Amino acid sequence: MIRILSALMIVFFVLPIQAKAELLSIDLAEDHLDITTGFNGGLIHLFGHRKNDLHDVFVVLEGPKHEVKVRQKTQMLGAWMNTSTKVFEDIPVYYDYAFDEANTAAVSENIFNKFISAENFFDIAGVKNEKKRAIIEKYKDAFIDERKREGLYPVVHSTIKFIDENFFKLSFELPANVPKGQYMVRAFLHDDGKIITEQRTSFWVGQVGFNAKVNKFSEKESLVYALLCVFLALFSGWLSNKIARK
Amino acid sequence: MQIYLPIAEMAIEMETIFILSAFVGFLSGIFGVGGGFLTTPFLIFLGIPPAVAVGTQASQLVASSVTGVLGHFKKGNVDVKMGTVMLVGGLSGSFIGIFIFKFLKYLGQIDFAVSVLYILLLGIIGPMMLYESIFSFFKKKKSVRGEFNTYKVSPFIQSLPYKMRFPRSKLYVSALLPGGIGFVGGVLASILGIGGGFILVPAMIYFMGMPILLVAGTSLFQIIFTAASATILHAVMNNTVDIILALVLIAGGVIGAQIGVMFARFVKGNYARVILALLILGVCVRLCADLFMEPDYKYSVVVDL
Repeated sequence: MIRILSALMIVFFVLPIQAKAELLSIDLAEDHLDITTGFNGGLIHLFGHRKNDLHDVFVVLEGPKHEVKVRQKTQMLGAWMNTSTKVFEDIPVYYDYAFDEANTAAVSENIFNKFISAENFFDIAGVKNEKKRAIIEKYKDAFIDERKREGLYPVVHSTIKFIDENFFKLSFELPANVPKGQYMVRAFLHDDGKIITEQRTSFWVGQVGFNAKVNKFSEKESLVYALLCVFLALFSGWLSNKIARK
Repeated sequence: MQIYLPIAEMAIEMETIFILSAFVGFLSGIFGVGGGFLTTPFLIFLGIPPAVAVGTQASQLVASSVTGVLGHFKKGNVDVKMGTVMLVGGLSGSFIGIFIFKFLKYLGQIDFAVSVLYILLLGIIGPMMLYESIFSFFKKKKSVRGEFNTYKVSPFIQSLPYKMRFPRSKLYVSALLPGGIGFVGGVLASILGIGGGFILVPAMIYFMGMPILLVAGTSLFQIIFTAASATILHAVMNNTVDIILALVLIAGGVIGAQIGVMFARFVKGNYARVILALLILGVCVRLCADLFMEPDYKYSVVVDL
């Protein structure tokens, strides 16, 4: 009996998942982006394969999530200063998405609004009071605008390039000011406004080598680091006096 | 060349920072001013977060004050006792300053406060310097003041308690006075990353009646400690001292100052002073414009890591 049950379990639960997983598979060329002393932005390459070309693909890239404060300036006695603040929790500080180059129209409005739009990070629909909601909307729009200006949210979509019918590649271009942390890549297979399957992978953006050591040291041994900074300044001040006298 | 700053966590053009600090160093070589009051606003204009600009500038200040004070020591122009009393005030000022800084940052008002303080300071110094330098074109020096000359201080100041003897300066004044002046310097070092020499020096001359000859060396002497304290506090409490940025600032400052000192021989003091005054006014106007003109973007974003 147990055998039959477990066999049934496999047939009904495990196999479908595996079959679905094979519909779409993705991998990154590298699982980390290193910020070195000369860092000026970088590329993350994604390769993927879908089982057949019946369904379309889109990919989103979510940066690390943090609490963000959006501050508004108003004029006080002629001077512009921050007067009010709205806090949003768990917002990706970096975001990007990619569609099929040849077939952008395939991403329906429904799919875009539900799974791609950055608006989804903000839980605003729950706010019943219309006035309050309008105010929060303004802060939310301001945040998205600021991210776009900084090149941290997409202004236009990146493109997925199909090498053949089912094998595709995609390069996300991360700017010099890219925030460090864990980045989540989510690839979706969709059809007719519905998600067929999703695949995830992730990569890490962080300082490496000398920079990373300096940063870590400054946090862990902050007093030693501080004394080192002061000593360095004292020494170079003394040295410069020596040079000047010659 | 782009370099990535490990603490500020941003990429900057190294040449820009180097030229900026060399330029400020050049000015300090000519005029003997610290120049922190120009570097910090410029760093902020370049997009470096105010906290990092202030914290890092404090460490540059240590270097430039050491260079300056060694020269004064050699000539015996430092009143160490006076400097020590001042730096007691200075150290406590730098502590208080850090807390004010942290609190303002928490409120989201640190940029505003730094701007306003700079506008006030530069707005006072610039016109005064301009007035003085233009006026002196027309005024012949009637009498050359002796280097050990002092100003008479007001009776109120003479009546303050806790009097102390300062043999080097030949003064018998309340310890509250140098302590208080040092305190103001300490607060300024922590909040603005400047030594505040342009405030300390006149205060020491006019309020305390200190001999002019000793004033510069003594104020530099105490600025070393105050700036060092501000650097340590910023690094430990805010983690905003970027050692790479500091190195570029110090290197530029040192080289600029040497060129400035050489140049100073060929420059007529008053003309140069007019230029410096105009530069200070320029920075002040720019800060005012940023503060009073409607900003392009009324919303700003802060990410809490």
